[in-house]
Amino acid sequence: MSNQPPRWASRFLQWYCKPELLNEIEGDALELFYERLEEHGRIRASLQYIWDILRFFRRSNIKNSNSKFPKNSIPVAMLKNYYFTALRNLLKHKAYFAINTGGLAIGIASFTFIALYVANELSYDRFHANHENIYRANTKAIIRGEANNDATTSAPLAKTLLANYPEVLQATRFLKANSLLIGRGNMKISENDVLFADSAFFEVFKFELMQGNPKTALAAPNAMVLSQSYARKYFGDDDPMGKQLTVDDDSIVYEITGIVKDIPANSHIKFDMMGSIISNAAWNRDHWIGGDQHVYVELDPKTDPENLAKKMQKVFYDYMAPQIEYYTGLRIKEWEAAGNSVGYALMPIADIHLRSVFSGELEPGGNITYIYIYSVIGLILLFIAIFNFVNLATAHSSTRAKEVAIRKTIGSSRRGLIYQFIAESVLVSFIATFIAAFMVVLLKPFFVELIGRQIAYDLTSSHLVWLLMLAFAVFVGFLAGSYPAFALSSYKPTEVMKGHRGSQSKSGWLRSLLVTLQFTASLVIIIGTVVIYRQIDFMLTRNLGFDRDQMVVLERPDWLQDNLDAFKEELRQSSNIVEIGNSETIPGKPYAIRSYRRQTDAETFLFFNNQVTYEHLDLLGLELVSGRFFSKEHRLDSNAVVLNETAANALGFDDPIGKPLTSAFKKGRVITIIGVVKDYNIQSLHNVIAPVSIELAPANNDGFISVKVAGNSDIRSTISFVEDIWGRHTNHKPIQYFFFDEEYQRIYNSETSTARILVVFAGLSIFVACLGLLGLITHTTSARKKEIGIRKTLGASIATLVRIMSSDTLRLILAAVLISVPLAYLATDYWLQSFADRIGFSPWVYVICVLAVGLTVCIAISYQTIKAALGNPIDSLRQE
Amino acid sequence: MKSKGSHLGEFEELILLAVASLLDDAYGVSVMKYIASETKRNANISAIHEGLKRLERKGLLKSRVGGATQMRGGRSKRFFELTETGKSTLEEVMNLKLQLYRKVPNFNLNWSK
Repeated sequence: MSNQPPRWASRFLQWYCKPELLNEIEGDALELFYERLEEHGRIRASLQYIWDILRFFRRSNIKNSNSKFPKNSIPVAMLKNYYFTALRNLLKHKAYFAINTGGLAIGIASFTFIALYVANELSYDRFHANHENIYRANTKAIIRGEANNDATTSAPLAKTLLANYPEVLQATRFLKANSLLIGRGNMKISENDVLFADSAFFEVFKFELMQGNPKTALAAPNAMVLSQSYARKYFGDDDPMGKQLTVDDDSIVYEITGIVKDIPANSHIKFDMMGSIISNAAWNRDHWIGGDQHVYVELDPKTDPENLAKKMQKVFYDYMAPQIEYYTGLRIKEWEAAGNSVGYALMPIADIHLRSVFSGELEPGGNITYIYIYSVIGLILLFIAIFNFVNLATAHSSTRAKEVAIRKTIGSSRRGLIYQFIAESVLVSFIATFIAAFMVVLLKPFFVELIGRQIAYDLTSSHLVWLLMLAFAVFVGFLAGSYPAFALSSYKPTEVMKGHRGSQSKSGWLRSLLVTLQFTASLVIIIGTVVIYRQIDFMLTRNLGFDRDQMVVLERPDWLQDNLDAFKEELRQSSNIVEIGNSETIPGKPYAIRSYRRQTDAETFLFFNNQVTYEHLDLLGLELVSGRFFSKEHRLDSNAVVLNETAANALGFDDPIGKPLTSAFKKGRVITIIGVVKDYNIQSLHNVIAPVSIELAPANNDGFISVKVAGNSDIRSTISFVEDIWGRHTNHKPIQYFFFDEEYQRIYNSETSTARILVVFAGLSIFVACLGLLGLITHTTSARKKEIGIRKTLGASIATLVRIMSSDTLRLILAAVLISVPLAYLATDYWLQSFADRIGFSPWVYVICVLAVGLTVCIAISYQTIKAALGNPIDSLRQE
Repeated sequence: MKSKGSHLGEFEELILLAVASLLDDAYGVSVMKYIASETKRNANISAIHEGLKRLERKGLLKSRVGGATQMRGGRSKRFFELTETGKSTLEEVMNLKLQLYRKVPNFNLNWSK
């Protein structure tokens, strides 16, 4: 068995193939199979064998049906008959056919898109062959009772783990640099995501090196690995190996020692440039506190990672604890007694993208909840389309009733009829899948833009996907076709011939149920979308306690070196610039944590710290509650601190102004609280307001320079003005800037992209549902044509007729509303719980959504009902 | 022979050349591999069969059956070789191409400029 091609494929070939060709075709296919078996293994060989057999399935190889079956063979004639009946039926009812296939195609395409996206998210980091054994070491600290979970950890942890624990087979670490100025000759480009890693990186992670030795590429100082596309970007068609790039300064030169294949979209570690971490002594110090490096270990497969993480606590006591004692002046027992602790956790790399709870991730992760939401929506869309199919098929059954009756009379079995109708729906499903595949291929760029993230897969990436799509088409065809097939085939010839159309009412309840379900699902999605939008709007427009409009933020002030003040002074001359100041960080960006203590006792307080200049208060429009801000008149302000209300309250002074604090970072010097500002949000609204301390550092040239531009000025010319001055003061380094408000929005990227996706799919769901309704109403109005004609002759007004025809449908929509509103409330309430600051319940959202859907439904059905009501009764009654 | 039946498609031409080069050993798999290794074109085996059959129908190839091996599960191969018409057609086509190619101005074709 193990070295044989799949039996069913061979049998399929033997079944269809002309006997005179069978020998050579099977021979060639088998020869290729055995060869591939040796080369690529059984699975690939079998898949390719199946593919070959399918490709041989073409006209010139297929048995002439005449040679196998005599021309008047009943099964063949019947199959032919089924096929033509199906086609004729579809072509005869073009609108019905279009609604059916169109709806199904949209449903399948949406489902496929979502499946591709979900597959991409779930496949993160699974392409490393050994991914089950690779873990990232994370820091799990509790500081004064507050949990601080961090993706990064101390630099020496990697080598310590490798040396002390035999179950750690390999360990590697890297750090991510902020923007760096990379140069080749005169070309200087600032690059954002440069990583620096140690020499084990390419042994732990199986990124494929096209050139260079994975063991030694990062072993020497000032070595650099480029991605293929960056090798092209900097060196064109030249061989980059051994060539040099400058990093940040013309005197710092890195040599290219390897080319890595471009990192796939489903890797949480993405880089185009990777330098060797031993290039900079500061990255290799034996410093345990405040680690900013990412540490990964490959474990022996038999290791229990949780157990190991527990054992790693010893690393803390042996290495980090002495340093904590040194900085805090406390015994470690005392420090722990004050509610502090540091421990480690090991997270499998395949979990990082979707399940990380750690801050300081390399890229914003996905969210498993959103994956569930998307999956549910994908299924809902598919089922709305399938329900359409079932509804239309059963509603339409009366047109096929006579056909069924005659087939039965002639001797068709019920099973034969079921096969016939299922085959018909599989045919429709095939056509729909085909259209859907086209849509997916054509619309993929838009979808990628919509979700704001690259996708590693598409339909053309493998034959397997096509086979899956085929199987999917058959599956959908069966799902959609089986109920109508049973319903249709149950007709009794005598009743149909006598003119009873009893079965109409039998499937009526199912139709009502399905329509109700469709609209319930659509309504929930729509209400959910509106709530999500309102929450995002709330977060973005809410008064966060600081200004971020008209603010241009410049990066890399260190490039100004000693010219920082001169640069700022020159900018101030312009009337288009209102204020300018620099600071270590800005809201929305990471804040450092600093510890403070009251002079009177040993309790430690951790505040989020910013180092700023005198202009900070005015620049951000912070509101002073008491005391004052830093000012040039007070020479002692370098030993002063401004707190926000949360921080001030935590310290518990009655009047905090003038109270002394000590801080380990200020080497125990006394610092005085000089002011308290109103609370403002430095993080996303998922979090509660954090305690903030602001200190003065006028000469600090890390971080950012914020430039507030006058409201009436031309932003473009102001920026080029700034750029010009920047160039003169930095020896023509490129300027990097962003707009504060746009950058701040990015912390809500995952919410905004979810909202955008939901809008599209909510729109599609209601569209497909209405499409089905349109088909149904078209059918019922034509079935009730005579009734309408008679009613009209007897004096019914047009309004009455429209009401009679719409009331059934509207009753179903009403039921959908009653079911969906509580469901939507529960779902949105659950989602909103994840925000510390959230919108309240608003009945108007529900009212407006329901009205919008009701209106859409009315528009969808009114054309048909009004047309029927306006028709001349003579036309509908004349035939009899 | 200017009828449509004798027109040689680009892929057919490749197959014809492959069969001519492979001499006694021209059958489906060997032709496929030859084309793959010489031109880097990965055609499916069924496409090769189709081409071979079409060329045989056009009278440019003839075939015989033989060469069953264990590697093929005991199935025989169909070997192809060029007919006289095949040989002359191939020659004609190639000459025509060469003739046209030579007429390209500046024959040393310094494309890189």
